[in-house]
Amino acid sequence: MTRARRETILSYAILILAGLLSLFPILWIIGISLKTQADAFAMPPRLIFEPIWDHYAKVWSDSTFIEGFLNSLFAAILGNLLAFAIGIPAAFALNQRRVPGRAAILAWLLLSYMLPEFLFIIPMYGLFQATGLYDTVFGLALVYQTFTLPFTIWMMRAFFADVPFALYEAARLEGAQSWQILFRVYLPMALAGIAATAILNTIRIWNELAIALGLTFDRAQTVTVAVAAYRGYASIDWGALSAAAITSILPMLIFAVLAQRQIVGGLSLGAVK
Amino acid sequence: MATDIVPSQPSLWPYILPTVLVLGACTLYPIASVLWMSLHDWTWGGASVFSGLKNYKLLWLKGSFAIALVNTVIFATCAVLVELVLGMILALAANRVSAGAGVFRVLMILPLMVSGIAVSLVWKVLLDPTFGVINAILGGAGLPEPNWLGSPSTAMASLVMVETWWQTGFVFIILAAALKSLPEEPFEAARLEGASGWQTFRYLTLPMLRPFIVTVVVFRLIDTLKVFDLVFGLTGGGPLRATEAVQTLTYQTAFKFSKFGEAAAIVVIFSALIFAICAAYGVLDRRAGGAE
Amino acid sequence: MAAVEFQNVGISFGTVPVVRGLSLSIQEGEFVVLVGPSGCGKSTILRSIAGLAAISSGEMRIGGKRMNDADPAARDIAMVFQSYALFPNMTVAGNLGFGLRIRGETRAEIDRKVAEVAAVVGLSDHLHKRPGALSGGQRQRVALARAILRRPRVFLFDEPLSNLDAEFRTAMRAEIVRFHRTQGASMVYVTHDQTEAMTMGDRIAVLSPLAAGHTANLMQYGTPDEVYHRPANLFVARFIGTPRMNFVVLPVEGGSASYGAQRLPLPAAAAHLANVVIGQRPEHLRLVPLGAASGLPGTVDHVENLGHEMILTLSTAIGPMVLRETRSGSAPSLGQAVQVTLDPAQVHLFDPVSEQRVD
Repeated sequence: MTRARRETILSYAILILAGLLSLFPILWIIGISLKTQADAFAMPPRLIFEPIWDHYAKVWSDSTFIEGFLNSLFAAILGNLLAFAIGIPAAFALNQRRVPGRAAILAWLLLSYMLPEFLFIIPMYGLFQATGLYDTVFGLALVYQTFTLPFTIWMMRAFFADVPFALYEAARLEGAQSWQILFRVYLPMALAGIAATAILNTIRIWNELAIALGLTFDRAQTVTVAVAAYRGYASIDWGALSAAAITSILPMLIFAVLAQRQIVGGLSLGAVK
Repeated sequence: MATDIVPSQPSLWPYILPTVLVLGACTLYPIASVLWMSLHDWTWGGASVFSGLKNYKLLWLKGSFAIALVNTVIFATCAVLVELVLGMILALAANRVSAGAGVFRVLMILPLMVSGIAVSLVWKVLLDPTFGVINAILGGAGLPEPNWLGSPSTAMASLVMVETWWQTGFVFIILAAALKSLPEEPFEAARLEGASGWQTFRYLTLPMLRPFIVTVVVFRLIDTLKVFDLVFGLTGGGPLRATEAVQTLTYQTAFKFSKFGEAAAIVVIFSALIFAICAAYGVLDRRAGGAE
Repeated sequence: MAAVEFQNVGISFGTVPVVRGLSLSIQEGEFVVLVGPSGCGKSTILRSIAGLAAISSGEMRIGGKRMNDADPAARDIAMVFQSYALFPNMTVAGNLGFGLRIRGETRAEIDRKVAEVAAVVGLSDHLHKRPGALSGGQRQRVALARAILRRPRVFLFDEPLSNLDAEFRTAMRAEIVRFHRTQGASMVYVTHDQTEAMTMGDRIAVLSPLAAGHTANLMQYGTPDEVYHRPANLFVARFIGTPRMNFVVLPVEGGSASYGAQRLPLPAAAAHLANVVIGQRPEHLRLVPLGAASGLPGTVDHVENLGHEMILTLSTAIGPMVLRETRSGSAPSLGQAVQVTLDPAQVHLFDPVSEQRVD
């Protein structure tokens, strides 16, 4: 066997193994969420079984959980809207060289993205309680800007940079103002970028725990906080725990399958800055 | 790639103003606030009394912060190392195959899509010492069935394992994209010279991937240092503080014990550490002629 | 009143001067070509007319009014970019109507004007298409049409043909020249190709990079005839004409120079120089039979047979010479000994120190 052939077979083997290892835990938990207690605990593990929907019924009738789901949805929508409204003009301006303080702002954005969550949670805890933003989805969406805003600006800036500058000049020549050029020329050309950014922002917001834990109490709890509450079931009710976990990640898994190209593209772009 | 502007155009500062305001509010206020808090003796609900560096001294004297910091650093370095090696192997493998690239990509990013808390719950079930399927498989093969999360000696390793399962996909994506962007010709020339796989990797691939590896390492390092979800969901910091991390300690100090002053002190020190890493990366990047 | 006038204009990028001491005026209805090697500032000058490059010193007027700092849209100009700069997300109609939409004209007015100009350039059937679906020639016409809609005083062209294939280029060149004749407005055209410059311009501005040691960029500004038959300095003489003009530095003795055995009496202005640069275009050098009284002996180094003519490179005692002769009979072979003479009526004389023409 040639070296090339050997390498190819080895590569396939590695990838298949990695794929199975990635998939297995999720599949197993899906299995548990559909099994009776007896089936779930059976030793050796039972692969063929009669699925039951009781666990899901239990989770979906849990009003806290449903609320959590909706709150996460609103937080994602609101978080994205804010990030785009604030970030798109900034990305447009930061794409041009002679903006004063450009390097400083870009560095600041990076810091905001990297600093630990509790740096924001602890001060905001008091501030939000004082201003009535505590336990609100809007408050969450606002604090989430510490990472959605920098990310959105980076992504959109990269997509805007792909627009040839001659188009900007031609538009200026036709009498268009900067904001007109942004909306009529740059944004339509960057639609793919907007989609990828929105998807990645949504995933980040949906999966966020610490900030939601610290800044919500009951009304604005997100789905991650709701799932965290099921930790107590670890020794009692695996079925419910599994159903809760699977329900919370289902939207994101669907995203992954449908939008994998945008996700992969966005992640690589984001890290290469 | 930045571009020039048309000379006669008005300044674009209004476009950046909202960003500056939001960022300012969301960063300057918290930084000032935690600095202030860390210098005060303050339990939530009570009055705050200026106490100077008392909180910092307390952290120094109390073992818990040191333990958490050491745990976190060990966790971060192990996790990043493993993720880097595995991610690199996977990226190299993916670069060799042509068919089924899309399927593999989806499978690799699936764990990334799962929230940290869900990952924790999933693995809590899998790693259950008595009923979990991992131990069932091990037991069936005649291997020992450790108490993964309940034993201080294996808890950290379990955490690293879960973190690796969760985030290796990220390293994989970046390195796979980087590999694809490398020019083909140097590798063809190397093959013509009869270079072995390992030689090609060591002398060609690795040096060419250096900037990407550095970026990925910095990102993962900072992310793993900030670990919260996994510890919160899997072990809560135990057993016996074996997995206590800095951010979980912060959470407990602030929200379990209501000691905001002390928690703020932890945050200040930890943030300074993160800032130092970012600054070091920035300097390295600038030195290597990096983009801005 | 000139359409465009530069008065001692300088343009710098930061601290680096790119254009210095430019004084030039373009008349109404004139087609002026800015030509020169890369770095000579021709694109920068064009863009400064458009307002896309900032003028550091001096004054630039369009239609008699100072326009150094005016907004690009207020300068009464239109520009055809090298890449045509068509908006890929809009249809041809959208691209054409963009400026009108910005200016707030009514839907009906926009549609009417767009249809009108599309008919002029022959794009009426393509109005609904996106630029991506058009050929290079069609895209150029969209760019032209968009420029026409502005009814400008001056049309600016930034190397619009450099991205096209050679055979395409000739046809497109003719289209632009035709365009000028029908429109009648002034046109400023930038190119690095001197053939384009010679065939398209009413007047040519030959520009040189400042880095070459010149204090100003403008080397000569005249009609193609003037620039070809009376180059003002060595730079223009070298740049215009292909194959390049032959140059040889000869000492001046007794008011004349010796080209081999051929004596060239020099005019008064050149007679007092120590040395003189003799320039002659390849088509004016003549081969004479070996052993003739006048002439310079040489050997054939290289033969390029173009069918209707041949280009010979000779090596001689005073340097290489390039000749261009129409084919008659067989071509000389490599290494063959030949003799070449100058045509004294077609000689260009230059001062080797100042590089300026002497006559």
